[in-house]
Amino acid sequence: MHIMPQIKPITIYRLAWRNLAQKPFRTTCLIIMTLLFSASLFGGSILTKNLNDGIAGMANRLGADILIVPYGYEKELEVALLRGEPSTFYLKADLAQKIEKIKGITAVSSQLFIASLSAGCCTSKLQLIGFEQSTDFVISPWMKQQLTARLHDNEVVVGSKILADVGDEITFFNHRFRVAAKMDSTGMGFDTSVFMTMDAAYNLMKTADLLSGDVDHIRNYVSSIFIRVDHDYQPKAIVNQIMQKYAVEYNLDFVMTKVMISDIYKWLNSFSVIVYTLAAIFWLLAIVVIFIVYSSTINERKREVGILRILGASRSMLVKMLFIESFIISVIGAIIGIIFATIVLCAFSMLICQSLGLPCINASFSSAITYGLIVFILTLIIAPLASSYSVLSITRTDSYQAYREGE
Amino acid sequence: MNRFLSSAFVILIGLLVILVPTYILPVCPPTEIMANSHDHHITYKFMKCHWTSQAEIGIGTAMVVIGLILLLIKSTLIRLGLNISLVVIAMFVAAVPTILIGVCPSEMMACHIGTLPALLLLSGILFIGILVNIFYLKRLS
Repeated sequence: MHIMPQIKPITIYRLAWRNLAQKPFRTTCLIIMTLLFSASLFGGSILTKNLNDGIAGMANRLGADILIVPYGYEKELEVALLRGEPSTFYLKADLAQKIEKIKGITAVSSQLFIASLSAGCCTSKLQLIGFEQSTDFVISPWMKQQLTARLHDNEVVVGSKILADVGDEITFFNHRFRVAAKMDSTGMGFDTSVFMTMDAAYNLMKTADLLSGDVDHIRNYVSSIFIRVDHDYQPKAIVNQIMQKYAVEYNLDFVMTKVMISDIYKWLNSFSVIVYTLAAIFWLLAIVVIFIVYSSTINERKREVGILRILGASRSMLVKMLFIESFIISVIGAIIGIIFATIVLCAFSMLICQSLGLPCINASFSSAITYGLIVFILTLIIAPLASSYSVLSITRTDSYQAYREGE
Repeated sequence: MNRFLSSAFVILIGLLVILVPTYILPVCPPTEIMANSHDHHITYKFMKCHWTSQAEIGIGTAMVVIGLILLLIKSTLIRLGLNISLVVIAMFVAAVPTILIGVCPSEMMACHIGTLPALLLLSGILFIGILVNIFYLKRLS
């Protein structure tokens, strides 16, 4: 028995799809134009959001208003805070006791920075930070959840990206330490730092022979002094007072955390302007290219439309078919662009943040969905908007004239 | 996929598999070890990501060769067979830095945050592209 192949009925959706499939090169080029916009806008927006959240998180966590470092080392401290890039520098420790007396200062705490050696194969240098447990107000507040008891000299607290778990032993300069706690991810340099008591840090420096010169008085040195200022006082005024009294004697430099954070925000604003300008350029470019492509095929398509009109298709059906065509281009472009940007961001977000040297916190799923929807809608209107002139002008002509014009 | 297009795709991905761990997003450099303090002879210790990059150079080269053969051979069945072999090769591109050899485990290392995701991405792109081509060639044959 001979079975007749089943012929699928012709619908405007199927016709629109077949029209696109008939011209694969043109369709692919138009899809690429729309996906450039969706990928750049979605990827750029999510990256800006990640950086913004990372910087906001850092601003909240950094409890100090002023950081004092030896002259010329303010960049090293910023880099240690932002990226955790290890560095070692020293300042006379007695300054902390002297500045405590200045009116307007509510808390002073010192820290000692030691850059570790790489601990072996597949490990990199780490920032070891000795901190004073009795006066600390920078690290302890966000270690409380993980560390309930007082830290001992043979114990350390490790950042979230350090490959060690609570109870493990970790060796620095041939000294063994027990990991007492592991911190949550902060998105900043502390994720790759190791915290220990000030005594442990001094012992490490002395026995590992890390300091040349005045080794016997090693406890007279710290790397930086963190200062918290009363809300009624301006940090700038406090800095001026310290400068006048101690800048020459101690050779100091200052990092004002608010200024540092606002400088980073300024950079982030310029970055987002570039991202959105690029996305706007891609949006306009996609509209212009699709408009040109559709306009240049008006004559060719008039013949096709004329035949369909003669076969009985109404004008509204043809308008619908041509708009569905452009709609399909936008939908495919939007979906591929968003998926592409998501894959690139998921794969390389850490590399991007590390290259930019700024703290990053991955955007939540809900905010990613929100951004995705906004980008999807903006991409969706590209092709229908760009093709509307051509669609209307093709379908406006009467069927016979349209058929003859297309010849 | 068109013969020229499919072979260009395979050659391009093959070249990227070679260039990513060596130049584009290189693996961690070897660590210097002063073996002898008297004559200052320096020896180098390679991390395991180095051996991953060496293996990927081999896999990438095989892909480039297969890509060139795809360009020269017109027989659909031979091309289909070569494409099936590329599916296995795509899996190797991903397996070498994850299961077979691996990269440095620390999230701070260049190979972990750069080379590894790039190789996984290339493996995924090759896998999808080859599956599309196999589907196309199967229809042709």
